[in-house]
Amino acid sequence: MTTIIAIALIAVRNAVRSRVVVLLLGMLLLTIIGIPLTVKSDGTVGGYVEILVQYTLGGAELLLALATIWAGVAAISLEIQKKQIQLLVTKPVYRRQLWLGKWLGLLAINTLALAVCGGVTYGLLRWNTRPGRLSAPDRRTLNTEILVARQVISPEPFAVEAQARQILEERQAQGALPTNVPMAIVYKAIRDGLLLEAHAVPPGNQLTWTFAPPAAGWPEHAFQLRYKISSSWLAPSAIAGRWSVGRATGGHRYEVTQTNTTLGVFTLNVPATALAGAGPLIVEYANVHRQPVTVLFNPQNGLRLLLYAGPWEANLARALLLIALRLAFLAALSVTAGSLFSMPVAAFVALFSWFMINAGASLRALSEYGNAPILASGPAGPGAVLRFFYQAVQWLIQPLQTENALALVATGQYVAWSLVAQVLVVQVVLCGGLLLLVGAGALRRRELALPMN
Amino acid sequence: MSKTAQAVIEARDLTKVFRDFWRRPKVRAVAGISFEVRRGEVFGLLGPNGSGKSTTLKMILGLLYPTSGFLRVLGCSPRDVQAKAHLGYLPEESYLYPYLTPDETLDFYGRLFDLPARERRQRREQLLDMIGLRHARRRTVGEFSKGMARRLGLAQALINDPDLIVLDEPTAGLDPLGCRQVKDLILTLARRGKTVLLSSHLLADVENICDRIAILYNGRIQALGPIRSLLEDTGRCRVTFPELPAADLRRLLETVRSLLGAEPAVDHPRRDLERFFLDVVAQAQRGATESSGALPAHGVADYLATSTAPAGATLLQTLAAAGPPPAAPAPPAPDAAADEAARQADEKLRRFLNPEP
Repeated sequence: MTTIIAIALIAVRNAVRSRVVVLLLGMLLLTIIGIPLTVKSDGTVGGYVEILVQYTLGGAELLLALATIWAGVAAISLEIQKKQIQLLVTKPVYRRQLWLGKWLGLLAINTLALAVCGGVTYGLLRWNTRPGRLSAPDRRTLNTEILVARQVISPEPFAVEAQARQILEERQAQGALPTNVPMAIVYKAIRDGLLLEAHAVPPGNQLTWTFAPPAAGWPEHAFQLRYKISSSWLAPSAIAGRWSVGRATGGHRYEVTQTNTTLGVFTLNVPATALAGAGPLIVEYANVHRQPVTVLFNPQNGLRLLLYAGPWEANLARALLLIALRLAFLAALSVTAGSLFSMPVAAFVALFSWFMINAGASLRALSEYGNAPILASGPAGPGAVLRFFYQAVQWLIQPLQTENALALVATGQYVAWSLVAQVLVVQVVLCGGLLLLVGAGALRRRELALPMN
Repeated sequence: MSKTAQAVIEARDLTKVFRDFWRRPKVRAVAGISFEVRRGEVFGLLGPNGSGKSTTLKMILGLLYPTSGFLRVLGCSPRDVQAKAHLGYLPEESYLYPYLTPDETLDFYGRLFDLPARERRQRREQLLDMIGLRHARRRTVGEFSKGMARRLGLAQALINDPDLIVLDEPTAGLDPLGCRQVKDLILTLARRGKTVLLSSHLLADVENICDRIAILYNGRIQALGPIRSLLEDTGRCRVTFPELPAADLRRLLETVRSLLGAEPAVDHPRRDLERFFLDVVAQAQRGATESSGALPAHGVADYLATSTAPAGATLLQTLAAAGPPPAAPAPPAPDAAADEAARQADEKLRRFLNPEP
């Protein structure tokens, strides 16, 4: 351990004295202070917090990620190039100790930089939202909706699968299905259609959602329903609807009528008394608009339940920890790339891997559908090969994809400890461990004094 | 103990072929060399640039892997990490971290050997004294001259009191004072039973300190053996004596000519430039002028020295105490006793050349 710490300390000292850390901190502070001054928010306090937390801290995360890739790749490949490694490996230093020392050094620098970024962001936020600076309603919104950590719960999904399967079989029997589209795609189209239908509320009708109690039980705080609607009218319009919220048995039902436009996301505050009683939470929406209009909820994110889960500061700390862990993985990836290849090649490999991981959503879409006409070219066609490739890449990078923690914090959503633990285990312990084995193995096999190094 | 058991480095049919990206053989840098380095000896690898000596050293250090052949270092594979605890290495150039001070550099390398803090501190102090960089201990290595960095490189190679010291061009970049010190140090280490393997193309350095040498050319050993026997020219001999009057010299030459039946070569022995330089610098330094570079070094670090070594004595004291080498006598001292000795010697020679009937 002495060896690993010694190597890590030297890495930190070199970074500090070469002014890399000072430059990095300067750029980070410029980002954090500069972006809110240059980017215009929507004028709401929520918009300001979103810009400060999601975009500025997000920008800082991006900068740190790029710096980590550069420094991680240089940590070993540049030492090989400058031959400094020759003095290290002629000492009783195992290659794994060398790898771990360099990685730990990066981890320390990133942790310091993130702590500074988090502290400055928090200070700026508190300074700009200090008493007297915001109106009373804005302060209330800030304290109850934004600067809190709320768990987001989705309703129980509507069961339309059996019906979708039945429709598919009927149409197959009728020979009414296209022959050049895979059955999975047809089935998904039918199911999506049924879901949309199930989330439509015609005039005078109502829609009911069920929310199962969270693992930790219902807390004793007021909670919120967050929703967005669209309608059968093409033009944006204000539509009246009646909400009714309460437990399945007993307790007090909270009822209120709201008129909302079909643009934007709305929040309905519900008193804690609505949680009294037993059983799941039942939420009903009745279309009470005077004109005949059908209200539509998005099946994926039309309605969410937001439950108080703790103070915002702790949430921010968890989000920063999550970022630190993701950067730790990135550092491991870069150090291993630097162990395998020379500096420019290693930098390209690390950057490309990082890009692929972040392009996860697009890859997921490609692996599911892709360009349908090409992908549907038959089991042996080019489409099949492409689909297999996308699926393989998707399978590889799926464990590395996590929610955007800063987006969660900026909107007052809870960053769960389980998410932090998942990233720690999957990205740092498992993937990092694998990268350590690959990196140390490569360093063992590699001749470190070759003329072309 | 067998000869092989005493060997610290054993190389048999050692070959190194560098390959290109497609693994095709490109250069055969070392072509089947065999040699061994025994405990306590100073072994020199000589050769022109590109002869394979650095490649050989790097294979011994585990920085390059042999293509074929057998290589054992301290009884282990050169890639054995634990064996490196007994190894010291000075590369041909400074590969030190430029942003560290000498203190931090030595402490860092000491930590890699898991030396306790107290031990590290003691060795650091002694080594800084030894290399004459105590006054520059707070400056970063990046600010150092090549010679100062070289001295520090040497110190880091000795921080673990190694059994085998591998020195690649140990005197390159050093001033004559530093060269002399390095050579003294090598001899001191050898006296302590340490094994020193060095590569150099400064032949005078090697000649003074190596017990055995191997001369490499084109990746092959061209000559190998004890330096004394390799350099001895048994077909000629040299007699040295003080300056003679011209007539005496003529008669002496006639006698030698009649004995040899050939013309003998006559010239004046020259003083050793290194010795002359050291004397001049020692004299100048007695004026204690301030310097931003390396200061006069102080002997050998205590932990590296033994009772047989000039421990504690400064280098300059050592040099001042050591008289002129036998091959290059200094001019007679201008005092009466010395004059008398010289006169008696001349007289003896004259009697030898003009025997009384």
